[in-house]
Amino acid sequence: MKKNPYEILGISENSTDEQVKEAYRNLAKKYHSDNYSGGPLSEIARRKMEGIDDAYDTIMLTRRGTAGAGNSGYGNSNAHGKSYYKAGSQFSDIREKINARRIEDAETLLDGVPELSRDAEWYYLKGMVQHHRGWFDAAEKSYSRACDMDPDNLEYRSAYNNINGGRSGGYKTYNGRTRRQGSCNTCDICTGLLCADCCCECIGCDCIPCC
Amino acid sequence: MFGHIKPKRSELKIKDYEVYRGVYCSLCRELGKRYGIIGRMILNYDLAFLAIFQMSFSDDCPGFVMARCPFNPMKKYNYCKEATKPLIIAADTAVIMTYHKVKDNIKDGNFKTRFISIFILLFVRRIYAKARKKNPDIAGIVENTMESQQRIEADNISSVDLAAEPTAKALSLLFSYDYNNGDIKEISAHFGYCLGRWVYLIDAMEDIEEDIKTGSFNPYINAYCLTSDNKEKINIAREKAKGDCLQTSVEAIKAYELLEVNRFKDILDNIVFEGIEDETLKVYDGRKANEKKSI
Repeated sequence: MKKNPYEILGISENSTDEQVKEAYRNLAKKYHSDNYSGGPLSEIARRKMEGIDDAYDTIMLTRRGTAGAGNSGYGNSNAHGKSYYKAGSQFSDIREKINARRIEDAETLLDGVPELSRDAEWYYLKGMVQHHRGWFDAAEKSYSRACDMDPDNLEYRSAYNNINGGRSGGYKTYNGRTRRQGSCNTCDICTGLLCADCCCECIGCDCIPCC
Repeated sequence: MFGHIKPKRSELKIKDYEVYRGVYCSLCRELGKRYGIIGRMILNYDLAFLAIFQMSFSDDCPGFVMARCPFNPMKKYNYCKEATKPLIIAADTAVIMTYHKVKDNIKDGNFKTRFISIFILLFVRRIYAKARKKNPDIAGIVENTMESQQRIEADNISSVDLAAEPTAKALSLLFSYDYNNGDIKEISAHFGYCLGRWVYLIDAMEDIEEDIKTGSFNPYINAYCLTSDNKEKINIAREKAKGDCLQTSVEAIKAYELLEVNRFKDILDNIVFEGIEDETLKVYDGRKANEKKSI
C-alpha cells in the first residue's frame, strides 16, 4: 500500500513549505545513514531514508515544480554512507558477504586473513560483523582499532561514533528534546522565574509586578 | 531478572497509564484463566511490555471494558474485551520463564533464595507442564537459553557480549515471534536482542557486589578481577557496566525508531525512550530500600 507523501513526513497537506522542510530535517536527523552505519539495520534505514527523500521531492515538485532534496542540506543521504567507501578495497568480497547478511561466511573469510595482513579495513569489517551480531563491546573495540590505524577514514570514524555515542545516554528524541539529566530549556527558566516571583510575593516583595 | 522494562511513570500521561495498566491487568486475567491463581502471581512488567509491543502492530484495537479486580474488589480496572494472541503468548512465556528462573535460583542462589525457590517450584512445576504443552516453541527457546547460559557460566568467561548472548537471543526470538512482514520481523528481532542484552547487563551491574560475596558468575567480576576489598576497581567496573547498558539501550531505541506501530505509541515511546534509561540510572545509583527486586 503506497503511502501519501505527507503521511510519510508525518504532516498535514495544509502545512507550509517551512513546516515541510522542518519535518524533513527532523526525519533526516533520525534516519541518516551515519546513525546506522556498520549495524544490522543499515539497509532498512537506508530504504526508509530513500522513502523520506522521495516523499519530500514529490511534495516540493507538486508545490513548486522543482525537486527539493538537493536543497535540503542533507543531500542524497542514502548515497552518503557509500561515498565514504573507497573503491579497490582488498576485502570487497567480505564487504559483499556482510551486505548480503551472510555474517558467518564473512567472519570465516576474515578469520582466514593472516595476522600481518590485518589492516584498518580488516578491523572495521570485523567490527561490522560483531555489530551485526549485537556484540557492541567487541565492535566498539574493533572500530576503535580501525580508527587508530587510519585516523582520517570517515567511514570507520562514523561507525565508531555511532556505536560509542550511546555510552553517555541522553539520546535525542524525535523533536530534538534531549533527556539528559539536569538539562534546562527556556520553559524551565520561565517557570523558575515565575516560581521565584511567587515566593517573593509571599514574603512581601514583588519581582515581576505584572504576575 | 524480571521487572526492569517499565515506563517512567512521572512522564506518562494518565490516559496512557490507564491503557498500560489495562494491558497489565489483562495479562493477569489471562494468566488466571489459563493457569489459575498461581499463574496470576507470576505477573511481571517485562511480559506486559512484550504484550503491548506485539499488540501495537495489530490493525484492530482490542477494546477495553471495566471490571472489578478479584484481588482488590473495591477498585475497577480496564481489561481487554477478548484475549489477544500477544496476551496468550505473554502468559505462556511468563510461566515458562518463571519456572526456569526458579530452578536457576535453586542452583545458584543463597540459602534464603534457595529455600523460597524450592517452595515456589512446587506450585510452578504443574503449570509449567501445561504451558510447555500449549506452547512448545517458546518452551524450546527458553530451555535452549538456560542451557547456553549454563555452558557460558561454566567456562567462566569475561566477555560481556558472550555472557549476554543467551538472554539477548531469547528475547530476539520472542519479540520477533509470529510476524509475517520481513522488515518488522528483522527490526523486532534486533530490538528484542538489544533489550535482552540490556536486561542481562543491568542485572549483572546490580549484582556485582553480591556476586563477589557468593562467588556467583558475573562477567564484570571476571573482566576486572574484582575482589570485595578493592572498592575503586568495583566502581570502575560499575561505570563500564552503566556505559554498556546505556549504549545497548540506544541501539534498542534506534531499532525501535524504524518501526511504525499502529497503536500504544505514546506508552511504548515512554518505555523505550525514558523508562529504560531511567531504570539504568536508578540501578546504577542503587535501588531504593523499599523497592525489592522480583525473582
